[in-house]
Amino acid sequence: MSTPMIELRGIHKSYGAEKVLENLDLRMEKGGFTVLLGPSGCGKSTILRLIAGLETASAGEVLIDGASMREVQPGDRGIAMVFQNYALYPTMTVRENIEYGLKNGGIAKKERDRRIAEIAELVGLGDYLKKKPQFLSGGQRQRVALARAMVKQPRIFLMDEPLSNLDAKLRGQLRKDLIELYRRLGSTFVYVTHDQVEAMSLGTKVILLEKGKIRQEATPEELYARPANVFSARFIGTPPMNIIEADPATSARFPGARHLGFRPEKARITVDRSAVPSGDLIFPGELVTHEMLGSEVLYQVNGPGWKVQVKLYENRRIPFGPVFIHVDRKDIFSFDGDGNSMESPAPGGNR
Amino acid sequence: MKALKARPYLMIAPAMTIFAVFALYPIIYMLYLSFFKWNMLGPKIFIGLKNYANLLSSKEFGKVFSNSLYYMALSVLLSIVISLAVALFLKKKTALNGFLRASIFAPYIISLVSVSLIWLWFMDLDYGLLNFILGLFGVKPVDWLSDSHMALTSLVIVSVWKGLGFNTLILASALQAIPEYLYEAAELDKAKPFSVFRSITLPMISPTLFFLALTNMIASLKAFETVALMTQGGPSNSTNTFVYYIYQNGFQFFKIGYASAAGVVMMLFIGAFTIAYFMVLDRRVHYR
Amino acid sequence: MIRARHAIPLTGRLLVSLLIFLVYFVPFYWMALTAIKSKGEMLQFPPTFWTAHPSWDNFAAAFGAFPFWKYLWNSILVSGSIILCQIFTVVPAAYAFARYRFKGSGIFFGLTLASVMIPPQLVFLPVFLLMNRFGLINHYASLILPQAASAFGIFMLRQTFRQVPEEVLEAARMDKASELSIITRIMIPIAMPTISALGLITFIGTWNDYFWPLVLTTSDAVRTLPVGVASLKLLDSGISIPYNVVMAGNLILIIPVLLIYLIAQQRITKAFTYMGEK
Repeated sequence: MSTPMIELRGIHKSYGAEKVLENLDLRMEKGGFTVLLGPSGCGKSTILRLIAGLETASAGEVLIDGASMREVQPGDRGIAMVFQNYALYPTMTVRENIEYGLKNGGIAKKERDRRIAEIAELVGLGDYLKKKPQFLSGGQRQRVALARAMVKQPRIFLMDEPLSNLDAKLRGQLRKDLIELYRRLGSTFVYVTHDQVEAMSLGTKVILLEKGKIRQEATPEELYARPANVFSARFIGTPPMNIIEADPATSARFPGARHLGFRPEKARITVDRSAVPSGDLIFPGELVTHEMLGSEVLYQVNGPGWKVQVKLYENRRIPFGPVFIHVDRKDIFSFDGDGNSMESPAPGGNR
Repeated sequence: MKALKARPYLMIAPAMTIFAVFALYPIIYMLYLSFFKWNMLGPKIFIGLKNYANLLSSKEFGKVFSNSLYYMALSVLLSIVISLAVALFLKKKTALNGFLRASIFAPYIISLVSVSLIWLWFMDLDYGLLNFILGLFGVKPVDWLSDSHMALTSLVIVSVWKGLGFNTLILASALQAIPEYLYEAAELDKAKPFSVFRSITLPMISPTLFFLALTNMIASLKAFETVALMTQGGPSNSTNTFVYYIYQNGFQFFKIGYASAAGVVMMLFIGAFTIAYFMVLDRRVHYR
Repeated sequence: MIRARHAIPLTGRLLVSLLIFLVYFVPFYWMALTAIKSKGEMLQFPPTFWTAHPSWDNFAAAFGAFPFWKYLWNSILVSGSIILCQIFTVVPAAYAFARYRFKGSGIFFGLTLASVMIPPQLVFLPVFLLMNRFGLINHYASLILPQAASAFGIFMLRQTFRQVPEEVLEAARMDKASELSIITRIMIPIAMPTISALGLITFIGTWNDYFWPLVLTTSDAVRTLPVGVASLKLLDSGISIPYNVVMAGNLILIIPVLLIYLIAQQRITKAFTYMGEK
């Protein structure tokens, strides 16, 4: 295996008494688009900032392309970063914003002008090079932030929730632009987000974090199809996987399982028990709500001690009241007492 | 940030030196000198607390003390009450109000010397315009500046006039910061105007009132130009205040030690009131 | 107050507005008018509200009563020098307090706080003695040095510096910016409104200052305009106080500040409001 582009070894990071990261090991391959995903406070931004050099670890090493970054300043690591709030220099024009890093890097004027012209063309900034950030829209500002990063031709791009301040439509647009950019440049990307939809659509590899620990590290497909634990199962998916505590009846078929899970889109509803195919697991409950979401309908069914959501792609008029949920046995996931998946790992392994 | 360890110290050094030399050191030196008798030419003679004893027994200084107290209390009171009324009156953002606000601010930025001179002429007993205007309403001419019962109040009027613009400006922006929905809710609760003022407006601007009371208090104690140019401390010491008294004793009578002692007393006076301020009023201020 | 509109009828409002206006306009008008009246006309009672024969002699008298041009030059020089000094003392100090953590910063900041509370009127005697000991009386240095740093300015500017979003500074670090570059190309431009507000306030304060020049000078050498104008009171012209000449001098003293006020009115009022929001 070749040298990873980015490696964290035995990283500890505390803020005062609060331990954010403890004994963390991480590797990111050259040319990959790695997404650091997790709820707020999980340490994903901290990891990003450690890579950037904006924070230093209490213990452990950060290596980039095999070299220790202990003595290396953020500006000298060959890294560019795009911030959540764009962090554009308010008193400089767009052009000056983009040029700043190049100037500090000692790049000659001719080369600077060339690169800026190229970037302006690529990102579509030509019209407002002379404007100041306060006169730009959110989407335009983000493009400038992107351009500022790209023009330095860094070996690594770091992005800290860059789309979270944009409205939904712009977000979708810029997401596509980012994917295209990645494909064109082929540099290493590290992207931080709390939005699992974003993570799934952008990343080649997703690292799911909770409270400073890596819960699962896999491709988006893996993450969806084979969650390693209850946390992963519940974090991924819209809506997330339904998790039910195994009762004596159903747990007979899953010995040792403490929780069972299934995806809303794999479940089905019927009022006629006899129509359920044999082999399916059956959960009797009561239909309480349904939400029409355009192409899909979301049903909520409550049972003894559990609530489950079912996603169907057809609008059947199921009356509120007693129903049966049934799921094909092969779509059921079992989790042990520690919350870990009991499925046998796929060939090739998760991690 | 891998900054040079010494860098922050270098950066604050020029300013800190100035403060140490021109603020800290003078206080200490003044305290030191207050225990001596000195006329700047001869030697310093240590006399312990005698200067303070003289101050306490001096009728003149007693007058100075009470004058300063009166001046401070009256100017703070008048300033705040009048500027609050004016700020409320000019609250709406109309062209007229904007013009008026600009007009009342003008005296604030010109020199106190200029203001003193204008009012000196304005308040002239025989030829001043003020007495003429009063005469139109049938009021007898007032001896603004040479009547020992009136003079100090006249000086207060001058400083209130000058400072109104500033106070109004600050109050106006504080009033503007009160969210409109509070008033709307009060309207729905059928609250009467005075009640609204008392329970909503006043509490919301109380931090500002506190700030203005403090700044006006300190400013009133610094008053020198009005005294020096309009009354020179008279008549019969009725307008002599701390600063003028120290000036007289230091620069006219050359009683350096005595003047220093007076300075120390002035400092304690300011300190005491500031502390009292914070302790008493701070509790009544509504902080968000 | 919300429904005060109902409480004050229109005529009442106009009357009060007129009253406020007059209270503030009349003294100024009266000053300007007196400045162009002759001595005889000035002493007329009842006074005239307009003058048919404006006399410009008063201004000449004012110019002649004291070394006017020298004082004017001194005012300009002293104000300008003080502002310049303050830039070099206040900006670095405010930056250091805002963005560095260093031992003793609390104590030094406390010193700054104390200095705000210590007015010249309290310390002028020891300062005079100090200047005298170094032979600096009647030297420009004596007027400039005591005001070479503004504690208040450090407060305001520190506040402004602290409000710069951390992200912008981090982006600068990622852009390989040196400390100096961050200060000059990012922090100072962002803080420009505050800095110019401070400059304006300082100019107005020093131009108008009567106290320090009075206390620290004993001759004409470095005296400033306010002292000169005040001395017009003592001019010998046959009457106790030649108000017409005094007002003429006064007018000259006021005009620069009023001009600046007219031009930069918004800026100035904004500057002082800023000051209010401690």
